[in-house]
Amino acid sequence: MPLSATMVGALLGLGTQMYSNALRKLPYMRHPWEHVVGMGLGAVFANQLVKWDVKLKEDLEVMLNKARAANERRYFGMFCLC
Amino acid sequence: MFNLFLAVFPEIFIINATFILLIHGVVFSTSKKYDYPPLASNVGWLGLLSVLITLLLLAAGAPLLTIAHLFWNNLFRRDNFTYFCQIFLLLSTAGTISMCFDFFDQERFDAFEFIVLILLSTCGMLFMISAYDLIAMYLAIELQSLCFYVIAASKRKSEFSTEAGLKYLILGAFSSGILLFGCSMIYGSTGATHFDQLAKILTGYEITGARSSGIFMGILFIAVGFLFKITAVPFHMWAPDIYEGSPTPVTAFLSIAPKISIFANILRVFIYGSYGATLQQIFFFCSIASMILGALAAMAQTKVKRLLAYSSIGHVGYICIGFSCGTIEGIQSLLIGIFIYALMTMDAFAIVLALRQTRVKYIADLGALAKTNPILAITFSITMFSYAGIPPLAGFCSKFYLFFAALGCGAYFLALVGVVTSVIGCFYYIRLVKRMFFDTPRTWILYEPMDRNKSLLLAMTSFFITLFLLYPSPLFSVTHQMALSLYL
Repeated sequence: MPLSATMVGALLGLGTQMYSNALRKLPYMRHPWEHVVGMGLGAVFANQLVKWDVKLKEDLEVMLNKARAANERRYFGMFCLC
Repeated sequence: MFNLFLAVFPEIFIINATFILLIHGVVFSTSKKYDYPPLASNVGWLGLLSVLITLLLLAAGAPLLTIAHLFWNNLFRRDNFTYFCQIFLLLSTAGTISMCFDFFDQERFDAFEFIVLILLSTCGMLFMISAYDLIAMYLAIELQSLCFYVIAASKRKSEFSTEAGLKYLILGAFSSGILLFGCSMIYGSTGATHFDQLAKILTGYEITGARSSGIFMGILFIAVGFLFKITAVPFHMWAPDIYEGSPTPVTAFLSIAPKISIFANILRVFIYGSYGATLQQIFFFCSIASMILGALAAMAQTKVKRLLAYSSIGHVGYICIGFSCGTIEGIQSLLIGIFIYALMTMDAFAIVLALRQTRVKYIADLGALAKTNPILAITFSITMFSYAGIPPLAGFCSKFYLFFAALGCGAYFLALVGVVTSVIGCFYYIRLVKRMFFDTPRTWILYEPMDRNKSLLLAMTSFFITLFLLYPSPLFSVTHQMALSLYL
């Protein structure tokens, strides 16, 4: 999973830099060190995004459980799921 | 443990940065020793750096925000909703400032105060998002609006810009007056300005027998004030003229940033503070009218900026669908809609700015762009298809979720109008694509290369628009959290 996120991020970063060069009507690989920087930033961004997504889902679960518990406290008895 | 200083440090930093940049600009731009240098680009880069540092300071305060906190005499609130809205606002501001640098050089625009006013209005918007009292909210709205009136007229040699600023001042002041009148009526009827107190008094007031014409008129006037500021029909008249007359970076900023902060305010005041049948009906009507007018009026436009202005009016209508539902899914779809709309609009205005250098003003001037700059034409096409809501682009996802939220709460007519107006809207969006790829222009325009800032911004936003559907999970989770934290 981290490997695929790194690869996808690096591809995104490379693609962004190449797209940027293409928009400016420059050769796609002009200043190749910028492509390396883009790949690095892209890989970091993708990994952080995946980690953040996992944390968001955990926090969301906590919030939903808190809300469910508050609702169950308010109403007498447990919710009947039947 | 809640640390007040750390919580407000981003706002403190950006206010201080604004004043330091103002002093820096005044001292050096009037300096004979340095030959009266034009400082717009210099202050612009420093302003961009200030916004990015503010963003980092905000992100660094994240561990403090798992629980909502009120501070400064309970006038402001810090929670997940505030946190993510402010991050989003700062990212939009940074994107807009980064589009401006080439504009300063091309148009010989040497007013460094432009950037200072943008930073000041951003500070006002940060306060707006965290405001938890009618007084704090109004003061923050005025701080933001006054800066906008001035930057709309910032191109002093242009009559159109001066006219736009004057129109915006008169109409904006009028709407702020109506908003304040509504706030005063609510205070007069309830004795409260704090949103927690208003929530206790106003929730269900239509059915509990506590009906009061003062409360009803107050809510109506506040709604009118807000609807004016988000350019919803029937309070949209000012938008096309002001968007067209203002300098293009100002138009980009006006299209994006205030909508984020004002929608955040609307959610606080109306979803949390008071929500009833009257308000729902008002927003129902405005949503339907905005969608219809945005679709029909844009068809008659010949200028690119006016077309984008009517397009933004239409999109406000779609986003108001989420508010009209009054459910968690509705609020979540509203937040997703705003986020995707902001990125699409940044993309569109970056392209307009890039084309502006070659004096493209009318839609007819876009002819043969596909031959002179095919990659830019493809980027513009992707943006237009996304605006039209064509899958698998991000615009489709935002409309899809909004319409589903409407169906989920039983607002079938709203969803139907949304679908029909989306189809009508496809006409003028795809007309632009047809012009670029299949028409010849009235006069052939030489391409001038765009700068790196715009090309990077375009590349990032285009990738987001194209690839969003592959991994929408983070945005869905964060907007769900934001919607829940409004209530919890």
